[in-house]
Amino acid sequence: MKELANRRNEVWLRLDNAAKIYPAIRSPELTAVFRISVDLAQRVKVAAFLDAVNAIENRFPYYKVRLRTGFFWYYLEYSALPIAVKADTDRPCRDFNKRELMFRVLARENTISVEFSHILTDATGAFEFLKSLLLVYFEKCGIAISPEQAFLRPGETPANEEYEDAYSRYFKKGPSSLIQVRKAFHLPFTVKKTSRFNVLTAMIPLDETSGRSRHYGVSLTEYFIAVYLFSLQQVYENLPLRSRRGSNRIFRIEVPVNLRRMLPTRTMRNFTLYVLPEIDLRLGAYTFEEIIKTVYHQMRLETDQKLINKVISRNVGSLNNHFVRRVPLFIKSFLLSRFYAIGTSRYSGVVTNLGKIDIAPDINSQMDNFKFIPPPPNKILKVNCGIVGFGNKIALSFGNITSSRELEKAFLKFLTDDGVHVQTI
Amino acid sequence: MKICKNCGVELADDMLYCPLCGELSDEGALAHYEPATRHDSHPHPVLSGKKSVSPKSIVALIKRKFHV
Repeated sequence: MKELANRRNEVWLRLDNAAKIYPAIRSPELTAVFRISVDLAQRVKVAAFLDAVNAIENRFPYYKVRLRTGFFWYYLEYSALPIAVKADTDRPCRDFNKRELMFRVLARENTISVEFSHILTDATGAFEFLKSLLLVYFEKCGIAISPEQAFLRPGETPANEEYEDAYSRYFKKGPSSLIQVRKAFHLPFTVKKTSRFNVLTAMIPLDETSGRSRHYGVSLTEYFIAVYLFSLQQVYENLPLRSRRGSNRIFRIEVPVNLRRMLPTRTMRNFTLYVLPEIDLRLGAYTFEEIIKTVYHQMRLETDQKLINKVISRNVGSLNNHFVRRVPLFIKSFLLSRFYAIGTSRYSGVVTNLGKIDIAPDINSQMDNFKFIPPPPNKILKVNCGIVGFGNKIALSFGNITSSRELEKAFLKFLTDDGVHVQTI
Repeated sequence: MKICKNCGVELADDMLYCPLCGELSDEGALAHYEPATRHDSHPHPVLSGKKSVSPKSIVALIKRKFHV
């Protein structure tokens, strides 16, 4: 994409290593689309908002692409379509059709949201886009932005590194043997048939929650994973004996880890791996303290850089395999969708923590809170959770494709019992 | 300050409709309504009172048009 400005029509990109699975599995319900929202202190001024979108329109050319089907692989082709800007009046995280770009910008009352397909990027890339949009919007509203403020400015030429496949950059040939992982427990709730994705958001104070995680000597992410595992255990224990007997008793959570923190890159595409902390109820029921201890150690072991390098080698190596590369796309898609189903049967839920957002004090005062809605979970997982902090607020968003709120209730009840004030919105 | 009644964003003073959702603003609704009021004073043929059109009249119309 080096000569992007001159030869846009001829430009295409390979999907990054993490994105390759999504075209094979996506459907109107399993969209692989996530959302980041920000509630502003004031109503969205639509003229300034549209001006801001226009200003950044060409700053992110690697997102102005459409998915194309080749004989061996899907690929991304540059499209001159304008960024889709819409009123946020529909269900979140809807799918994109083939004629659209794979991201959209939404506004409603005092909320600005961006929705991205995972084919394009992960939450870090989407947040950088939203940050640029917000800062340009505030500038259009007459709020001065410091020249030192770090963000991707509209006039800049995108750096090559922004659209690199960082997995390939850090790929080294190494041991790539597959690890046998037992199937995990899955929530037994019935999946809704259509329009099934619903989101429950709860706000909790950051200071109270940090106080609790410090009390246990763990990070906030580890605290939330432990609460999630404990809640899953409670759901399991409330099941009738017959259902419990038929269930797997390993409770495992998939936790995305932003690799940019370990392996430096400015990539705006996917660069995430997963760690899988677990508890094994075949050894008996766990107390919360036992879960915290297990999660703490597993997270440290699994985020070791050598192990991360090994996982990258395994993932990239398997798709770069000479045989795999020569298999036609329709066969590859079928196999990838099967691998995806097998993969998701190995964990019970997904907890994604974006961390605490902090832009600049004068900019922060223009915003009230952020929310992160993870992509709709599949029929096996049924529920997932997205977390993001801003100011003294943490937003917990539970995506759910069933009618049951039992897991969310157990999670939020635990927080309340642990002394954290919970407000559902 | 003008607010879109549908999506709640703040509209610029000169906007007749919301560029995000297409909802007409108060002025836009008025502007949209006005032509209809003007039509009232110069009424168009009423389509609902259907006049039957016979094949003969069509042939006559064609003959007139093409001076046949």
